[in-house]
Amino acid sequence: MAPIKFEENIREKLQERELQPGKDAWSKLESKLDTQFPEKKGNRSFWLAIAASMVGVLLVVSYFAFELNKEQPEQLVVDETELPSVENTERVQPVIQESMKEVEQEQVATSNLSEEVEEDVLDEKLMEKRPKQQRLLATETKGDVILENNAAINSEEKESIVEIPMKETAVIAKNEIEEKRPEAINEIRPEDGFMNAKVDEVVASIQQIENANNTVTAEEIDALLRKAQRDIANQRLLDSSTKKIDATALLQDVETELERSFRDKVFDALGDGYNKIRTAVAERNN
Amino acid sequence: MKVVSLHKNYQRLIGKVRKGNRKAQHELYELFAPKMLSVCRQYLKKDELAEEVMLNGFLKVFTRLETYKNEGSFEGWIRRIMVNESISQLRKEKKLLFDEEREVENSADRVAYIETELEVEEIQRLIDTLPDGYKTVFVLYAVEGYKHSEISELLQISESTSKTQLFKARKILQKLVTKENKLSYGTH
Repeated sequence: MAPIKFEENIREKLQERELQPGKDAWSKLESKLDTQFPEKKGNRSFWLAIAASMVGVLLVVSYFAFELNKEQPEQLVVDETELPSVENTERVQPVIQESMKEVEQEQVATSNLSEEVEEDVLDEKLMEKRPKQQRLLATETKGDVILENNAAINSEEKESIVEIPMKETAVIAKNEIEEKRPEAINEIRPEDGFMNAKVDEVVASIQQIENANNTVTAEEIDALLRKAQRDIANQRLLDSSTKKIDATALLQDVETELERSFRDKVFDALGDGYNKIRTAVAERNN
Repeated sequence: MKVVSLHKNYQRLIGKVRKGNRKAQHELYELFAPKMLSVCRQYLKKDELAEEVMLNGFLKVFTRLETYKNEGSFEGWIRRIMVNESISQLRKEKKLLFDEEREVENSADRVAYIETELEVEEIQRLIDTLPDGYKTVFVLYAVEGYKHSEISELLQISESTSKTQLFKARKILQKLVTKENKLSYGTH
């Protein structure tokens, strides 16, 4: 037993006692800490700077990530809707471009023909000022397809044209009409006019071969028909209004119709030799 | 549960203080300073000096926190630092001078038992009247719970000297309490 009664609870009382230090006690201790650990404060600012820079980097990264996330849905929409069409066009475009190149090449070839035809029209206009005899002679020598063919068919008819003034006036009237209505000429020329000219050309060629050899072989007729068909096909592809190749013409399979109608016209024009040639074509086909 | 959570909070706070976190240091100071000032005040009469010693003790707490092995009470660890700091202050002032005295046999039996109830302020006032050597041994033994072997090691004195110091301290306090009792009875 402790000799003094208060010793028994002195430990409890003094251990539980609390004395509040002065208000500036912490600042004194803080100043002591600052002098004792100056490097820690430097470290603290150093780490603060690193943390601030990392926060900055994170902000920039998150900003760009957010922007990308915002853009991505739009790209997805584009992918979903436009990509298939792009693929289709990519598949189709080379085919179209190739066909267009071929058509342009053909157009160049056919444009030479059309230029020749235009030159003929211009020449006819100029010929109005010339004497009638010279004009008719010029039509003979300039190589007008129609007149040349007519000349090849029958030279006697050419002489009658020269002799008969009525036919001259008809030609002049035709030229006048062509001057007034160039659109109508363009409408006729590429289709029926060119085809009729080709028909006449083929018929004349067949008759020349027949006159020379007394017989016409199926191969010769077939070669002439193929050549004429190629020329007509090229002429059809040319769009007279825009001077460009009509793309839709490429997509139309008109070869069979063209062949049939053109052959019928050739056979009609041949007249007497119709049955003979028809038999030859039939034999070739068999 | 409260003890566990308090221990966890201490551990978190100690971890921050170890990293030199000033805010955590301030938090730790606010948590223990009132009790530690009381500890220092038991050995030192002047409040300002006690506060100064307490601040030095906290400085050592912050600097030597690495040596705390998370074994035992953290408050007890801080308290020991404050006691050592107070004793160091007394040594600095050359107030801890112990004469090697012959051990007093059965010193406790020779002191008469006095029954009294005193407030903590009165107890402190009585302790303050003791000489520093007596007072230090008495507080270490009666308040902090040190054994004579521990006191002899701490104060670098023999155990007999520690016992003699305690005996003398009790004898003085007995006189003071008797005097206080006479005064209090006389007033009633």
